[in-house]
Amino acid sequence: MTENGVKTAVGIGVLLSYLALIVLVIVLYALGGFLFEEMTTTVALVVPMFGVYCAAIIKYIIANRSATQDKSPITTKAFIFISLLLPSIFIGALCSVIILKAYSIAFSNFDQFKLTLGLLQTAFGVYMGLLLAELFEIKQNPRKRGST
Amino acid sequence: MFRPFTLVFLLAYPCVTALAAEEPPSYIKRTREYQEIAEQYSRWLTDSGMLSPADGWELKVQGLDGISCTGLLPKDAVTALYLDGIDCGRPFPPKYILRLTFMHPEKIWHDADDGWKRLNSSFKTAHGITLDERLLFKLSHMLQTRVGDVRISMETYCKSWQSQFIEDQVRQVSGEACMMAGASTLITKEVSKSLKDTSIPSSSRPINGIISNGDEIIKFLESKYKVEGAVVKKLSSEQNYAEVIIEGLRGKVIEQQKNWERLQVSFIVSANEKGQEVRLLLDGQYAAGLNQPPISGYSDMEPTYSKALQLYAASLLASLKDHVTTGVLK
Repeated sequence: MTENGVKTAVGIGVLLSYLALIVLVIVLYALGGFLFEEMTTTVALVVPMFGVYCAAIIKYIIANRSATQDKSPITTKAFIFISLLLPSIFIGALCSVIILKAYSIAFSNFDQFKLTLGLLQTAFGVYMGLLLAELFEIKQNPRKRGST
Repeated sequence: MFRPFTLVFLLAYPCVTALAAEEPPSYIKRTREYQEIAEQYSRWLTDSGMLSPADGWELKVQGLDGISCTGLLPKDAVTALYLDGIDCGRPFPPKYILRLTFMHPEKIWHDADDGWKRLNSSFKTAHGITLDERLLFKLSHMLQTRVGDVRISMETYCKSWQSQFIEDQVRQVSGEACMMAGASTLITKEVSKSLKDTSIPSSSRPINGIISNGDEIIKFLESKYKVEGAVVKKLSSEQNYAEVIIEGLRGKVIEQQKNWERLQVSFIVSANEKGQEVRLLLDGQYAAGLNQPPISGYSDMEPTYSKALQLYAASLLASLKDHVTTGVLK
């Protein structure tokens, strides 16, 4: 798979997953799994997790809307594996936590659920940031670049 | 080469440290729990409109493990309102006490003698229960315990004044709420007499128009809620008092929503010249979930759903009255 192919697969996957997560929360609220306040809080927690990535992905897709030939280099299998694995695990973990809370499993109250979402963001945020920043050329804070 | 190991160590160290940390002593856990309940209770007092922080008051909830009854006397109080006196001979000594201290009691109580009595009386006229009842009932619900396990010590303007709101064998209830869920009804003697002449269908469970003890009320509740799939847990049952927790309801109090609901209900029966007066005190919590959530996941219905609680209380009491007077279970 070429690098552009990986970018497209990961980008569309992340976009669809982001939208699916929000729809999942709303559907679970409609079924009685969340209170209205809990639903809005959950969406408000999920949206910033993907905000920067989705903006960069959409920007990349728009910038390459006319590209008809893929001249990017072929990537290694390890890169393809990591590029697909990390976002899948992150999104899978988020889905699991949201479904567990809706079914009143594993969490005693909503505060524990919020803490867990934050923990997942902390645990996976660094790796997601590294991967997606490199794939979609997300500009990092200039202070973080280099040590000099 | 060593970076992965360093990263693993840095990630694992806080987890291991947390796991290895000792559990705090149980009395510290209880202190924290009481602090949380005191804060929650303070918010309820303010949100319900009963007391404004501008009035200047401090509230503490204290467990009474190992404290003797004489230890309940506040040392520096101008006066102390003991809802039921300090009677260590009662069958159910208190387990918790709520101390409500007013910085400027003269702002709350207008005169030395009848301030509290007047508040109780006017409140009972308006709402069917006394000012005292609501606070204590609310506190017992927050503490997940029986009303009889709780005392409220409230410093007032008048001296050596005690509150007894029910004649006997009924737990003292102290408190006032501008927002409360409660109702009262009267079962008249005339109805009781006429029922004796009425043939009652064998499928119903008549009480002959008289509630003789709390177990009859609990049986009524168990029959009513068994149909709805809820569970009734008995907390207390005496000759003229019954207290239960009802769990497993969905969308009954807060209609048109699928929330799980948990109710704590007290029935107080007293006799008067016309018959029996039955009073009901109701408190509730709600939570969302596709399965029934744990108790800690519930939120108080008051003040957001106070009206719904009030309507449900009236409805429940009407069902009880129908059951007592006609034998019909609704």
